[in-house]
Amino acid sequence: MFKNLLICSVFLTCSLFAESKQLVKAEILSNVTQTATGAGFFLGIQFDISDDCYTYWKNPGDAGLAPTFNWSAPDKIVVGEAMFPSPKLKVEEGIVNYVYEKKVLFLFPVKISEEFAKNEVNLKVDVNWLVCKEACIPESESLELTIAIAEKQKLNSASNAYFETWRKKVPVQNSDLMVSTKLTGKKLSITGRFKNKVDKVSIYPLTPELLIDHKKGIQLRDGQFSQDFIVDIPVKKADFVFHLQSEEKHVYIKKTVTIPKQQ
Amino acid sequence: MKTLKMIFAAIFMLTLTASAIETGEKAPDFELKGADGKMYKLSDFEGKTVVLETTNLSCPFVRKFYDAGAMQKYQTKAKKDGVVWLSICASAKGKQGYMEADEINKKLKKLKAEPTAYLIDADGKVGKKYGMKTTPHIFIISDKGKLVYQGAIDSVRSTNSEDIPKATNYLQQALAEIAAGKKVSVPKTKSYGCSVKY
Repeated sequence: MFKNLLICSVFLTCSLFAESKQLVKAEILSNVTQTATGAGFFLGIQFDISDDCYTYWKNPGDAGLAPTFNWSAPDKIVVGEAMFPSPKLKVEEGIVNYVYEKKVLFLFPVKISEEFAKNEVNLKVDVNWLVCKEACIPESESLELTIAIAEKQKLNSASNAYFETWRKKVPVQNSDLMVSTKLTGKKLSITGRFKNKVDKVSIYPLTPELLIDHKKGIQLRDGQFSQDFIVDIPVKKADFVFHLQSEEKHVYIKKTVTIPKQQ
Repeated sequence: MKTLKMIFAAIFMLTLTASAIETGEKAPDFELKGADGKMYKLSDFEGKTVVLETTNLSCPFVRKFYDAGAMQKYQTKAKKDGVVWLSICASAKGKQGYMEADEINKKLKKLKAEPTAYLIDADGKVGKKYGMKTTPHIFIISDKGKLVYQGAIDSVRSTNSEDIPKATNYLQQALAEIAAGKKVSVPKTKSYGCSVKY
């Protein structure tokens, strides 16, 4: 009886909580106070995620869903693809997910055409996401921001510094990372070496058909690191994100690898 | 030495794929209790095509298909074509999606769900054997007892019912190919949904 009451109360609390308050607070931010025709700047969608909850990366992993951003921008304004910061690995009961906890800022490059004639620009976005604790709830928000168009663009120094901390977590191409691959059956072994000293490495597959062998983990020795993945569904190429950590700094690198032939 | 290497490689490959069955392999038999109180064995349906639908009726990805009446249509069509449809609840007692038999039977009636049977896999013994990871997660077993499809219902990863008509429906495509005596052209896809809750 008591056990049943306890189960009921857990569900009640969860559902009441879900109905009364969003578990993720979404906000739209910009790194400029005003912009100009021909200029480029960044918009950000920030998620403030309730304690013990999480949302998903671009590749959610075994379950879940990446957030979606549907922009409405006037003609002559281009809002680029979402830039996803590097995630965190979450393994529960053998289910592997790539997630964000607490806070994340998704970045969007914006370009104002020289031909844009108005004195302000209004940008709207419909954001949909899944937030999870033990179960998942879909949430959404419609956000908008108006930015004045002036002769010269002005950075908002505080928000620009904040954007910069997140932009550093967005993986980019970097030729200082050398990567080799080997395919044995369905096992894809990735071996890498970075030009600088590395103390800790995390590798996340951006390609959903690849599964991480989380039980074995990453091997790091004498500056060389390796990790195994499972090519669950055949693909010719796969994208990976490498998070390389040393005492001095964190480096986030995106690399496309061609899946080699069987050896 | 070469033999030793091969043995180690084989052991390693087993550890990587042990939880799942590859498409084309024999589907292992199982026995589960249905919400109707009866016991169901996969081998009871030998000679028939069987769909296993991993489910959790509170999961937004599952509701995407049930709230729109789409899953019920797939079930009705499959049964009309002589296919056995087994919904397998992938929730442990106390977790999202778990319901006692009375409650689940009322829920299935309200939804007008049409599975051949709704089975309870609260400890995940079947789910773990088949590598069921999400709800929904579809497995199709041929009349010869082989796994011929595993993966998502369709191609658009979302919780929105409006996306259903926009998607390629792998489940219906595979069942149509099986009915036409053809080989399943897309035998494996990445499933999407809530995680199973054992």
